[in-house]
Amino acid sequence: MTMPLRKTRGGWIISTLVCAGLVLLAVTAKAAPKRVLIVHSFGNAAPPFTTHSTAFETELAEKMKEPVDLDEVSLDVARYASLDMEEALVALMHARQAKWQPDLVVPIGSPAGIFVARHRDRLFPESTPIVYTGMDISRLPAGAIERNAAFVGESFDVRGWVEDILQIAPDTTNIAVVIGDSPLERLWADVLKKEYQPLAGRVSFTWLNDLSLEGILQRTKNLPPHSFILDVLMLRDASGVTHDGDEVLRQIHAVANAPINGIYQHQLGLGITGGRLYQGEAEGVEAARIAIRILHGEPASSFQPMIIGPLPPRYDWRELQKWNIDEKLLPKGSTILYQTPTGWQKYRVWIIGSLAVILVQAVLIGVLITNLVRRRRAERSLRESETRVALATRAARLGVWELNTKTSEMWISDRMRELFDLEPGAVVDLNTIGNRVHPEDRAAREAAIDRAIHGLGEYEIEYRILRPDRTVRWISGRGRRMDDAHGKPTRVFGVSMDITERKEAEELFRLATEASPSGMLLVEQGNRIVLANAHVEEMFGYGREELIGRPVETLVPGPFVSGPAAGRELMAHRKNGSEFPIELGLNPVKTPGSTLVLATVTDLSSRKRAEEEARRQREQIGLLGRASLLGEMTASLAHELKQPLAAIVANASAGVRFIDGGEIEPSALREMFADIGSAGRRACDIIQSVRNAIKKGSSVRGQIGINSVVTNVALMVRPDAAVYLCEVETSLTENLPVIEADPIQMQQVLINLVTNAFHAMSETLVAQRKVEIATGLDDHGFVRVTVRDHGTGISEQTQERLFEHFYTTRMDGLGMGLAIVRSIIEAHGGKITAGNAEGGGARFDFRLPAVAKPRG
Amino acid sequence: MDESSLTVSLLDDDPSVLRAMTRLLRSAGWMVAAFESPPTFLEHAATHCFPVAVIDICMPVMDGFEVQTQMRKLSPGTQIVFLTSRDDSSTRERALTSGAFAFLLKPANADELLSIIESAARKKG
Repeated sequence: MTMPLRKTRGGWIISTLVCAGLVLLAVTAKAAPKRVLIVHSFGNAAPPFTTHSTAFETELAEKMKEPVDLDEVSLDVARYASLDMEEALVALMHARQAKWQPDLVVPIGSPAGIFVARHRDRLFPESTPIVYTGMDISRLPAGAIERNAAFVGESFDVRGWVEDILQIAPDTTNIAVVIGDSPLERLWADVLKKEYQPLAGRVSFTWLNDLSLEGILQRTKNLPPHSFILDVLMLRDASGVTHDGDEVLRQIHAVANAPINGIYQHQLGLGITGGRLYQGEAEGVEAARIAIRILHGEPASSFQPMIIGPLPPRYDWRELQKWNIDEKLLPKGSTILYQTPTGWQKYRVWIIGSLAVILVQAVLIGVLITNLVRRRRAERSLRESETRVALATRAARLGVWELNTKTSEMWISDRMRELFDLEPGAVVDLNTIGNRVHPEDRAAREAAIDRAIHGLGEYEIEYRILRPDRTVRWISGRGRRMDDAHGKPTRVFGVSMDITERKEAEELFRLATEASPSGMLLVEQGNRIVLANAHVEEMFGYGREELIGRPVETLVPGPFVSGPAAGRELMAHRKNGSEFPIELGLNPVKTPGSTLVLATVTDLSSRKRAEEEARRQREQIGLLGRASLLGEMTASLAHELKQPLAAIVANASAGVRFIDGGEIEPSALREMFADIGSAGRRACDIIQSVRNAIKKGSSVRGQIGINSVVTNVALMVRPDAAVYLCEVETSLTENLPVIEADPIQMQQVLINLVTNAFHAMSETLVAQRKVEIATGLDDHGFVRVTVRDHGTGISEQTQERLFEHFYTTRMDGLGMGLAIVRSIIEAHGGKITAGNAEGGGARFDFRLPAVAKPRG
Repeated sequence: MDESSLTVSLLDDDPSVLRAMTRLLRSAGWMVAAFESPPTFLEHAATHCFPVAVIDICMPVMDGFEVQTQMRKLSPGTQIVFLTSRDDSSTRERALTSGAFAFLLKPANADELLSIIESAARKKG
């Protein structure tokens, strides 16, 4: 194998094995730049080690106050691991020492560390210090650290990886381990298998290290229920193809049917759920700091091995949501990132458009921030970046600012000045901005920024600003903290956007929603509630905050499918566990991003109650019918009974006569007896029916208000009124004295009068068919009720006999109604009269004595 | 005495009462023409001659008083005996002032009823 060499600036770059050399050199520098050789394990684009090396190089470039000549060599063991290759590489590196003697060697990753430690004697003189980084300390050969070396790395808690999974998904029974098939990965696979042996009873492991990437994707697509994927490392798969581990993670995330966890901080956001994640970046930064001090003359042996532990647990909210992982299961002190805050969630449908814009902007800013942080090359000046940010944000009409937390210096974009109405060119600080914020929102905003600086690292808040011209604008602010390698905040980067129009629209939407006479729910595709109005809170007994984000099944059972808008009657659940009937109307709402379902919820309880009440009243009318029958029967009992009795008596007498005359045929006699028998039975039936009628109705008197009787009757006769196309109008005098009466009998009287009125108007034009019921007090202190119709009126002849038994003008009537009415009224000490009303129609008037003292 | 003079017409909307009354009158030697409905009765009266008609008062379509009014025109010589279960003073008064031969309440005493019919038949208008 030939290795073409190219001489450059006194250093050698091995073009096939070594990445392009990098020289950070100030042209004006007088001293010879320090030489640093980075030994990569897998090339410079192999996550997770890329994180370490990028952070190391960036920090070194930024913090070293003098030029550094940086060179890199890669073992690329993922691809070429073999002893032959190692020998060739040793020879090559030994050869280049003659030309380019490094002042410091930095192996990144355990293969590089092992290689350097193993060949230390042949590669570098003992005086050349070494900083081992990006590896588990247990991987480093014994004694390596003692030989003029420092160590910045991790000590993996491999069981912790499984514990983290079981913590958030306790029902996990299977863990699929994603790990490649390079020598290093094989080694780790063996370590893991051994370490996980004791867990076999608790959870089974599926090892994917013998599969190609395609095979791994296939398997992770079809994992059994209660599976979790543990993404350890993917440098080279079993088919020998080298991969970018982060890209592999993205691909698995796209297809997997189970949640995924990884090991490193940088994987959070790429599709892992999260847990205690290792900090490749911090390792790189710390290694760079030690490197600088060594380059400045401090002995490498003076540094204690530095183990960088995992971060406190942090999680990706989107993954937790996606896999329904309850936040309660997260360990105390967990950080949840990528969360959509409630404020944004609440009115998502309305703001979805603007949100999309903001998200794009946020991503854009995020990319720019990332660029700022990960800037590998020092040649990109801050000014250039600012220019880019300014260009991008101007396009998006975002105000941008950056705060140096150490110096409190603040830079703000022109748009930001415009937003907050600040003088162009005037120096601003956090207070200048803060003073523009509406006094009511000031504290909340400051607290959010403060939390971002001292805790969460990010904030997002909506607040009002009060501009000098007294106009109020709504601002949406987002910010992110930038930390140094020690986790100390250095800067806060923020964006502000004018959302006044959106807020106003939201407010309109909110008012419209709140004004809706029905309960309104907005449900996203995953059946989670994104909006609920006050009616819904009232109906179901939940606070809005409790409902947002909950599955809609909390309220309504069964699949919540958007079907035709036609209403469906369902039983719904209140918070207190009770059920109530609702009518549900579902309407799909299409937005560019998704389809939501707008549900209108109508509480049917009151309607059902009214229906129940109406049914009960109808039953009571039935009962009244029987009571009325009782009246009729009592009055005509004699008449009814005398018919069969007459037949019996006549038959018996005839029989006696025939027998006496001696001229009767037995068959004729038989007929007579049969008739006597059936007449007797008929008499029995009549008596029985009277008894039945008596059972149902018994008079109970009490002190009652006539107005409530009238109101009830007006309701009761409504179905009949509809049949006869009549209108019933009541005109009640307030504060009437009570009467001593049987309310059922009073109802009977009124129903009778009103029903008669309906009948009397059969010839009247429909538009004029009206029954008017009025109550009042007459001159003698009697309570008076008038029922007036617009029918043909009462003829003089009829008027005389109106209240007589059996008098009826109707073919189908028995003529007992008014007789009973009269007897009831008279039994109550009252009087009923009938006559013709002015303007036509009949008018019935009854008066009842008032109880001397009003009730109560 | 011709056959028609030995005939009594009965009008009662209750068939069981009608059958029983028919038997009672026959047991006393009367010929009986029995009718359940007033119009049929009146049709018969228009073409036949009979001395006595026993008529129920409470009937649908047409009550006994109305039948009596019609009978005055159709067969003024026929004596009307009201036989009813409707026991109230106004009915009684009205029946007696209407020119009826007798007003009897159901269930009537058989002997009394038969003797009244016999008297009515003898009176012959």
